[in-house]
Amino acid sequence: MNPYLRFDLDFILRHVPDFGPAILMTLGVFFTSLVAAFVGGVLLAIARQIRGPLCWAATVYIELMRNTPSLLHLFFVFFGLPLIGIVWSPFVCGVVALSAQHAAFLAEIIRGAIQMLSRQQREAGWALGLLPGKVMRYIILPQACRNSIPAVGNQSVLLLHDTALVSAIGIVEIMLTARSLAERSAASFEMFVTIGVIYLALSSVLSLSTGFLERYYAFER
Amino acid sequence: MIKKEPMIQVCDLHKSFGDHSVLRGITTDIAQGEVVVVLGSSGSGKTTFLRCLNFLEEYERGEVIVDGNRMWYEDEACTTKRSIKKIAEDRASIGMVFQNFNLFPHLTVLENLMLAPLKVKGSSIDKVKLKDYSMDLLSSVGLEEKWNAQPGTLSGGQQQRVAIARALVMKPKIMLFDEVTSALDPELVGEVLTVMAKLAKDGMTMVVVTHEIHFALDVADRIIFMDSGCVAEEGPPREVLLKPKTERFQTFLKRFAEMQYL
Repeated sequence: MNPYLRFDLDFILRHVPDFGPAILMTLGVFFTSLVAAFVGGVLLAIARQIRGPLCWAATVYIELMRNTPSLLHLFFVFFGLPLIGIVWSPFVCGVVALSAQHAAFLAEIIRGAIQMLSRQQREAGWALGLLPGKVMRYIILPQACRNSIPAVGNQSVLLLHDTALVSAIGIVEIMLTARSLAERSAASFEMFVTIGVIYLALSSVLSLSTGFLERYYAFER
Repeated sequence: MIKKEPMIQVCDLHKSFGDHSVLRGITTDIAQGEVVVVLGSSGSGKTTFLRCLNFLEEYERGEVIVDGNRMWYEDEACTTKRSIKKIAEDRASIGMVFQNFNLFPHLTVLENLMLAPLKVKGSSIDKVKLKDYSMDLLSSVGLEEKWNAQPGTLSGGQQQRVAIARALVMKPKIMLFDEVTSALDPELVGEVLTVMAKLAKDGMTMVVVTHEIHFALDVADRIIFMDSGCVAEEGPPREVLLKPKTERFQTFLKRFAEMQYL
């Protein structure tokens, strides 16, 4: 075995406390982005149901966001917008960039779930005298959201992993903490194994809670 | 007897899907409390006709006037279309029951009943009264013990009876039934027809699209036989069913006659 390669467990244990705030920061970026992306996604999905300019705007936005890389959005918001006088903190930039793209992904998931519901559900609502907006709000969206829980859960795991990108604009989350520790020592291998385990643990919790939500909101068909 | 204004007036109704014309000039009046059964083979336009009565289907020509309200246009000159809000108001007074029940699967049985009154009539409604009324309706269709069940756990016949109660909770003036027993197992048909017969006896104005010829014979005040988008025959059930005039209706009825001798 290469004598320079040894696994320094002590190094990891010494730096465990450094990862406390890092994990909190990652979770902060993640949850804020998730909520913003979900709200945005639902609004975009609804906009795509209504014929007219709003639908067009939503479609263009979704295609633009889906077909360009997240890192580009991040740099655009962080380095680009200040040129036209919009200066946000790195945290805000990170949340805006991540939720901008994930809103587009979630919009497509929710739109699919809305279209999966039969037209008959809508007609049942209309026939009772409900206006289209109320049919959407009380009959279609609640069912579409429940049906899309597995796919949204999957998307949120991707979002969690995308939070590593915000290390590029200097947000001290898990990835940046690991990188700076690795640069200050020779323990790159140890650091990246460590954060691999952390991301794995966080993702697993996320998947488990998705499964829980799925069962909680299940209904007989 | 004083002749009352009809509950539903249908004047020269035309409807087509692309090149295929489905309704070709339907004209009929339906009186208050009358039970009309619409018969016809598939493709004759009977379901489309029914769906035009509450404007679930837009028509191209003609007009439906429900309880004095024109459905499509504000005025006789057909210049201003009515707003979706006004159409929704009219729909609230026309109950409709569908072939596939279309209960809301994410809500309990009682919530299915209470959703529309709560959201259409808004906060002014007395919730306790509404709940009592909903429970009364559920017991009138024999399902009061299922109030907290999810629709998906009920049998087809039970779901359809909930669907009837859900339509009735809006206190409709008219009830439309679109082949409501066609998706049911044969042994569940009876329980739904019983509920409908009771409703007819209580004086509800009903338009029923069905293949249940016995129901037509026993409950209907009038039968309309539709053939390729037109009313081919019309009249009291015994007269029409026992002495069909057109060849199409004779062929249509032959099927049922043959079934009697199985």
